[in-house]
Amino acid sequence: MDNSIKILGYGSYIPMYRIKREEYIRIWGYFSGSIEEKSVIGYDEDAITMAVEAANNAIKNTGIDKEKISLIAVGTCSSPYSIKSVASEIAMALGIPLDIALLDFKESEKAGSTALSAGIDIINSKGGYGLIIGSDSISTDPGENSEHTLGAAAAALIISKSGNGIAEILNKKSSNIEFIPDRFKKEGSKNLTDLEIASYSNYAYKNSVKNAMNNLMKESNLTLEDIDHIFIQGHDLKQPSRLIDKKYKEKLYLDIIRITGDCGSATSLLGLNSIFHYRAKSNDKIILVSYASGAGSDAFYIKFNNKQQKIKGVLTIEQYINRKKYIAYEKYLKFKELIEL
Amino acid sequence: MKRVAIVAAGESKFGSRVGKGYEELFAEAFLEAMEQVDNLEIKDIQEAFIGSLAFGGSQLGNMSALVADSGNFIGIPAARVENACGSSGYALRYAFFSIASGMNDIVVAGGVEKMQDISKGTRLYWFGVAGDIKWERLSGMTFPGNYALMATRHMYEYGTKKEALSSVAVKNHEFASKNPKAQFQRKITLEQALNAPIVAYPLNIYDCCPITDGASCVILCDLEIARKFTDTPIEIVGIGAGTDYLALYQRESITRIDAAIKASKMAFKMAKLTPKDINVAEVHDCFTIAEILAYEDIGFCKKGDGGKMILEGETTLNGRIPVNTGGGLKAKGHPIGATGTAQIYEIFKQLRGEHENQVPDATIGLTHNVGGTGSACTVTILKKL
Amino acid sequence: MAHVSIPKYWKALPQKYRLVAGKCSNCGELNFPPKTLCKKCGSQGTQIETALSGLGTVYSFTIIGRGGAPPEFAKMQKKCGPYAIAIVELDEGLKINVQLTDCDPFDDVKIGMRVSAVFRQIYEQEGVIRYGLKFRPYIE
Repeated sequence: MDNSIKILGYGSYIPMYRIKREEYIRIWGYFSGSIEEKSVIGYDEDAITMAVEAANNAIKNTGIDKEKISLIAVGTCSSPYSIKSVASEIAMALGIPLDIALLDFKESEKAGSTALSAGIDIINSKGGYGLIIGSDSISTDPGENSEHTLGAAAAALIISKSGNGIAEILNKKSSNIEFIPDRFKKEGSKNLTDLEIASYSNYAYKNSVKNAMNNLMKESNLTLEDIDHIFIQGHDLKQPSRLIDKKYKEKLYLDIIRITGDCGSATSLLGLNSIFHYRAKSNDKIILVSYASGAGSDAFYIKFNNKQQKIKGVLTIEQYINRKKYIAYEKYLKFKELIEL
Repeated sequence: MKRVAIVAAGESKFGSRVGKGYEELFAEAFLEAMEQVDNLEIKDIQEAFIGSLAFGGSQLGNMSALVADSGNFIGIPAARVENACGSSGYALRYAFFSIASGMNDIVVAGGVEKMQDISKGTRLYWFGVAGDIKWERLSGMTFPGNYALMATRHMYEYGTKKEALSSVAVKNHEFASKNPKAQFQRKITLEQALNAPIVAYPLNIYDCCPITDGASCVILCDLEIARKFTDTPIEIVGIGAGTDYLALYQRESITRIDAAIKASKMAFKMAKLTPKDINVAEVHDCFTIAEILAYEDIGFCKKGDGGKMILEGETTLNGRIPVNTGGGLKAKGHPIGATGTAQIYEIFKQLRGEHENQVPDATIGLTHNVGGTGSACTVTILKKL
Repeated sequence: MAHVSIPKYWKALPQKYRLVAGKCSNCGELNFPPKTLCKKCGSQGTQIETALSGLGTVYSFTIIGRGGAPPEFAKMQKKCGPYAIAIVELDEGLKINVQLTDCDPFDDVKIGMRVSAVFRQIYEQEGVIRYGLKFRPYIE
């Protein structure tokens, strides 16, 4: 990157309903994945409503004038619509002008980081404020192992070329290797397919993430030693954890996944938000890496400046985490419409 | 202005009238009325005003011609009057004007509603499109829900207890148990009324009026010729009406129905009477809370004391002012467009000494008929001559 | 199914999505939704678009029992069971009628509680998801 892009502020959204791994064990006899619980959309929520709230929070947290937003880039692969812009719905819901760049990214479970990557380049050339959002509540057949860790959340950033940001994006790099997907959804299919080819899947994951990370760090003259915080997108805690050497494991901050589970396109941005809120100190260096099968990885190098001010009535990621109600598996099936209603 | 009398009133059996359509129901009510009068033939009737909300759901327009056909009075001016549940109260109002103005001598006012034919989904749809679409409908609101909002607030502002609401149902079922025309003729206990399943908190199924098929009709005429037709004509001495915003949230207060307060004041002023002069009343208890509000809006008690009034038995047969001696909408039934004139039917019988739950020496009676959640209301005061 | 056509729903979008009221340029009264004649002074002048804050207090409420939902909310009720509807008195003084969400209708809802607007699915008709605002317990 020629110049850094400022992150003026961020916003998160996590639905209040949660389901524990114990519920799955009660019904299925086991739980596939190493998370404790995950978030569940309520009976009147979807990827669009979550995106609207996260975006609204980000706008309120930065205090920017909505009229100056020049781009909305939203990544989701669980929109209720396959043909209909989510970005335009967000603009209408929040009163943002509609004659700006309204971009939907839906290509994979990392669409949020794709949106960020594209957004950075667009804002670099266009100026103005970019509203970047990742939002997902992915579903698949309740009998599938992959279903166990699928959670729900949304996260948003406001980026710009100038101004006083709470952080700055100094560089980005995407992975450059090819892999045939083993986790995908065919057009017209209701559910995500995961072929569960474990070794292949892990191999692709490892290479994709590592390549992106290493290329990024090399270009920015960094080693893992220099980095303070790392977030890597994965389906649970173990998957990203395996990639980092024991020596540097404490830099990895994945705690949010322990609570929300795998929230697809929201995961990378939400992970970043959690670092901003809980861990980062002035001048800390952060590496953020996303991943999706059949797409690859985007890696970002971010420098933290200062904590975001808490605005009255705008919930922080911590407040969303603490706002919870556990539900039973039967209710879970109804809320996610995994059974015919 | 000429003086106006009621010389006859008729009513069909209320309830689930399977196989009977609007035609049979209206004819039932009309014929009962015609049998009460001497020297009056169908051809003497000069105009008809008929109230109905949806007329069975199959006829959007021109219902009046069908009703005129059923009563064999095709040819005279006839029109449907609509103000939701307040339709036939307004039909009576217009019938009154047409005689008081000197325009007509003999007029029919009535109503008919066929509600049991349609599916629950369609019925909920009807009630929905009769309410405020903008917000109320699209918040998942229902008709009982609206009155429930009024109940919650009344309980909050005045400490009204659930027992008061349930007592209204118990009283009205007691009255209806003697009414052969009533939809429900069994008594209920306070226990039953308190513990029934919730419809819209705090209202349960015993707080809500039923779905009813029914018709009612009243024959009005110039007082000067009334004794040609009956020995005991009843005079309409006061008539009032009002409207209010359709949606509850638009109103200043939801613990009173301003349209009813207005209509009552108008009627009492015209009749030169006060609430204390009323011996018996029929009020619009589409939900139990509505009867409590009616006590306060009409002026039978102070604002906020409606709950106390029912709990102290003031509106039972032995009370200060018996209310809904026919069973009310709750137990007798609520065939929406027909309710207004069905209330007149009860008071007419009371003032002629012909009622099953007779109030001794009843001379002055009042009816109170509300449309929707109070967007329309008519109050009529009748006097024995 | 109540038929609220797309055009009819669309016309009310600024109110349903963003609580846009019309501030009378003559007397300053907030008309919600904006009216041709100001409800206070009757002026036919311009009503300036003003988005309300979305904060308010529960003025009254009810809970629609299971099976009592109007047809377009029947599917939602299969998921959530009984739901609360409230008249909310917004901080600006206006009242609106809205569904409450993210709370237990029997345990959590009280007259006087503070609530805030959230963007949610309202219902679906003709395949189009009708979005709008519901209110949930306010958290500072």
